[in-house]
Formats: sequence, C-alpha cells, structure tokens
Amino acid sequence: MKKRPGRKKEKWDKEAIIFVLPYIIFCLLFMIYPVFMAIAGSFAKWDLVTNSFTKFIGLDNYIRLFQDSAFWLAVRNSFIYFAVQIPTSILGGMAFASILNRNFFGRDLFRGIYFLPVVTGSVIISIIWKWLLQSSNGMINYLLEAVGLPGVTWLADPKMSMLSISLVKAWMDIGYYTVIFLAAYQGISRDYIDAARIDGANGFQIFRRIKLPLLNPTIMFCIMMATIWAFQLFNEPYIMTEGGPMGSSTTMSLYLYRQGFIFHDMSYASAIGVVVGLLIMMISVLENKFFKRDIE
Amino acid sequence: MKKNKKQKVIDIVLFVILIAGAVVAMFPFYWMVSSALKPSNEIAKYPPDLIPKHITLEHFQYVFRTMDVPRTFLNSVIVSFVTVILNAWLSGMVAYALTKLRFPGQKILNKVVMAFMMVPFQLMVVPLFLMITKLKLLGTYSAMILPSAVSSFSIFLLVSCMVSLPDDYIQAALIDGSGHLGIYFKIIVPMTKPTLTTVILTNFFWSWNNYLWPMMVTVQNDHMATMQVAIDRYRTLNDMKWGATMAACTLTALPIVIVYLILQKQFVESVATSGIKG
Repeated sequence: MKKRPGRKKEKWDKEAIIFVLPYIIFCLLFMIYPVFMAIAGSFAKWDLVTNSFTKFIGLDNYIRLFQDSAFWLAVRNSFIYFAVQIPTSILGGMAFASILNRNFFGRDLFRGIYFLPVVTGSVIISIIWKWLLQSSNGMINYLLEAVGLPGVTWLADPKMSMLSISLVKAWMDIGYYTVIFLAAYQGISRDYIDAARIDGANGFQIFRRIKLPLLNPTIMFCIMMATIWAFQLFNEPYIMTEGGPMGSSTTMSLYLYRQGFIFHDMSYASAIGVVVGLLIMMISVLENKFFKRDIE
Repeated sequence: MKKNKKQKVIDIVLFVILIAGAVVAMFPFYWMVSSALKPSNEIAKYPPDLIPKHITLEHFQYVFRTMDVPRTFLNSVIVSFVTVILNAWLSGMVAYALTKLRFPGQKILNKVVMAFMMVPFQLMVVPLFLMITKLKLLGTYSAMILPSAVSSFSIFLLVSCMVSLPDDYIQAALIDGSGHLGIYFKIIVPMTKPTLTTVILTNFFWSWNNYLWPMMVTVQNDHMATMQVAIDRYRTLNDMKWGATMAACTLTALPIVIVYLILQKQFVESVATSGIKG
C-alpha cells in the first residue's frame, strides 16, 4: 500500500465525513435499503398499502417461480437474446473496428455514423424498427421482396419475435463496440506488429497471436457489460411487441414488471428480481473464469 | 507489384463494406424523417416510395397540436441536468475519499461500490417504487432524479483515475494549510477533468435516454413525462398513425442528435476510454 498524505498510524481524516456522508445517505436510501427489502420481501407477504410484511412465507415464491411456465419462457427468451445479440454485436463491432483501423480516410466520419443509433436511445430506435418491420407494409419486407426474397413476419410470429428484437438491438450496439474496439486497436503498439512482420508472420497470425491476446481485457469488459445489460432488457420488447405474441418475447425484466406493476404481486416480482440478480452474478463469474483460462 | 494490386482490391472491398455499414446504420433514420414528411395517403401506400413524392409538414403540425413538446423537452432537460450534476458531485467526492483519505470502514465502502456494479435495477425497482409512493413523490422530478444520483460505474471510473495521481500535490497543499475540500476543488477537480467529462457525458446520454423508471413514476402525471416517456405514450395513443408517430420521433431525436454532433469527438473518446479502463 502506498502511504497516504496527512496521517499517522491510528489517526484518520475527519474531513472524510464531508466527502462520503452524502454518498452513504444516498446509497443507504436508494440502493442498500431497496435491495434488502426486495430480498426480504420475496420471502414474505407484502402489504402494499402500509408497505410492510404481514406474513413469512418461506420459499413459496421461489417454488411458484420454479413451476411457472411463463417464467421459464421468459428465461428462455432472455437466453435467446443473450446467445444472439452479444456475439453478433461484439463480433460486428470488432470487424468494423479492424477495418477502420486500416487508416481509411473518413474514419472519424464512419465511426460517428455507426455510433448514431447508440446515441439516439432505445425508445426511438424501437419505434422506428417497429415501423420498418411491419409485416404487411413495412420497408424491410418490401426490400426483401424487391430482391426476390419472401417477406418475414418479424414481430407477429412467435418463432421470430425474440430473434428480431435481438437483431435490432445488435444493429444498435455494433456502433458502441466499434468505438471501444477501435480505441483498443489504437492502443496496440506498432512495434509488436512490425516485429512480427519482420519475422514473417501473416495477417491472420498477427491477429491471432498478437492482437487478440492484447484485446482480451477489452473483450472481457464488453462481454461482462453486455451480460449485465442482456438480462435487464426491457425497453425493446416492451415497445416493439409488448412481450408477445403469446409471451414469445417476454424477457425476465418484462415479466417482473408485469407481475409487480400490472398484477401488483410485489413479493413475487421481488423473487424474480432476486433470481435475475443471481443469474447475472453466476454468469459473470463463469465468464470471468472462462476468459482468465483463455489468456494462459 | 502483384501484391500491391491485391492490396488495392482488398482496400476497395473493405471500403465498400464500410459504406454499406454506414447506409445500414443511417437508413432507419432516413426512413423516420421521410415518413414524417410524407402525406398520409403516401405512407399507407405499398410498395412505398423510397423518396417522398410530396413533402408536407402536416404531421409535425399535428404533433405540436396534440403533444406538449416544449414541456416534455423541459422535463428531460431538468431531469438529466440535475441527475448529471448530482452524480458527478457525489461520485467525485467519494472517489477522492476512497483513494486519498483514510477513514474507518473504507474497505467496506470500496466493496459496496464494486458490488453494486453488478446489481440489476430490477432487483431494486419494487421497493424503490413503494418508497417513492409512500414519500408522496410520484410524478415529481425528485422521483426521477434521486435513484440515479449515485452510480458505482462513475465512482469506479473516477477511482481508477485518481489512484494514479501523485500524493505530493496534496501533501504540499496540506503543509500550506489548506483543507481537503479546498484541495479537492482547487487541485483534484482540474487534474481529473478528462475523466469527469467522461462521467458527465455518459451519464447525460444515459439519463436522457432512460425510460423504465421515469415511465413508472409518471404513469398518472402526463405533464411530467420526459421526452422518451412521452414519445412512447404518444405512439400508443396514435396507434397506426405512423406519420404522426415518426414526426414525434424526429422531434424527440433532434435535441440529443444535435448535442451529439457538437460534442462528437469528446463523446466518442469518453466511451472509448471508459471501455478500455474496465
């Protein structure tokens, strides 16, 4: 540990109170208290009028969740999104970043354009794509038909809806990952690449043996963030399909929202929240292990 | 010689891919604006016209008659500005205390900050909503602002920046008799300006585009809705009136796109650095 200024062994900086107290108050009120209440509330009957727990019900909510086929459908949907959106957007972003990294003229312009969907925000993007993906008079189907392909029932077909949403969100996030990976590429020293080239390495070898290992922390960061976001997905399905048709695009967050704020079953909704939290933690730990091993 | 030619072909192919990517990224926005400018009968037409034959402002006029655009804009501005200022202020102070001061419970606080990076909002949303209801804050700016006032990610970014600042400046200022508050505002804030800019910009865009929570707390208070909330309510009310919906979308997208065009460089760089530091 580095020595910090202005102290002897047992003394501490009294001024620290001014620095941390406001944060601690906010943190207790708007983070620690809600998390604690949610966990406790998932084991109890919750009276909404008085906001108090009336009866301890143990694992009842979790048993109910386990037997709830609509919840399992939501889990499945969240995993479809996880499996489609994350690889598509991250690999897409990496691909565009590697092209832009070749010093094309107009690089900043391209980067700026790719980033535009991220900036515009998911609400507007969802509405525009709902309009583009209309099955009877939507622009995308028109374009497909124009090149001789059959139109697709993008959002109204239970088999397609979650896939369509994942692809729209992947389209949106590619720009985000392009920016991040482009910066990471530019952080790689030219010396390594020149040295490898002198040793006779080809483009693919340079990518596999030099760039990829150096990009690993960035890839790791992107996957971790994407995981946290994936299991919180709400806006796109809520706006584009309202979770339908027949629950085929209801994500876990959407299901939580519906249970808590449409059916007013706060205690059940909290149990879903706890499961989502645990799931994110478990997957992050697994990803961490997997990629740590990959470096060695 | 031959290799050079091959290289040129590859470059051309890659450039075409870049252009195609740009077209795919821009097209939905083009379609939003062009749908907003078409007369109603042309919007319903199939096959659609790629370029509008007639241009009309009827949809925009309709939107201004039926939606309180200036008010929702004002709501968005107030909510995101106050959120950003509070967030930067609280995060900066905590980051300084965590890296440069010594106080009891420091290690625990550090762990709490890190742990909350992983906690999904969904886990907190039910108790938060009940608390806001009980405090009679539903439909107020406070309800929208307060839960976003602290974020672990901002603190994390600022901590990783402040850790690398040398202690000598602080040491010297302490000997000169200044307090930590003075040091923080006079020395640390100017030195961490790039990271603070990152925190401010990312929070601003995040807050501006935030939807779920503002939607929940303004269900019964339409006049308090932010732009994101208002546009989706507007879409639901004007189901299948795509011209009006697209005009409203264009108006909603306009402010943030303008801010982005002005601050593009800083913003893109902010995102890039925050990504690498993780």
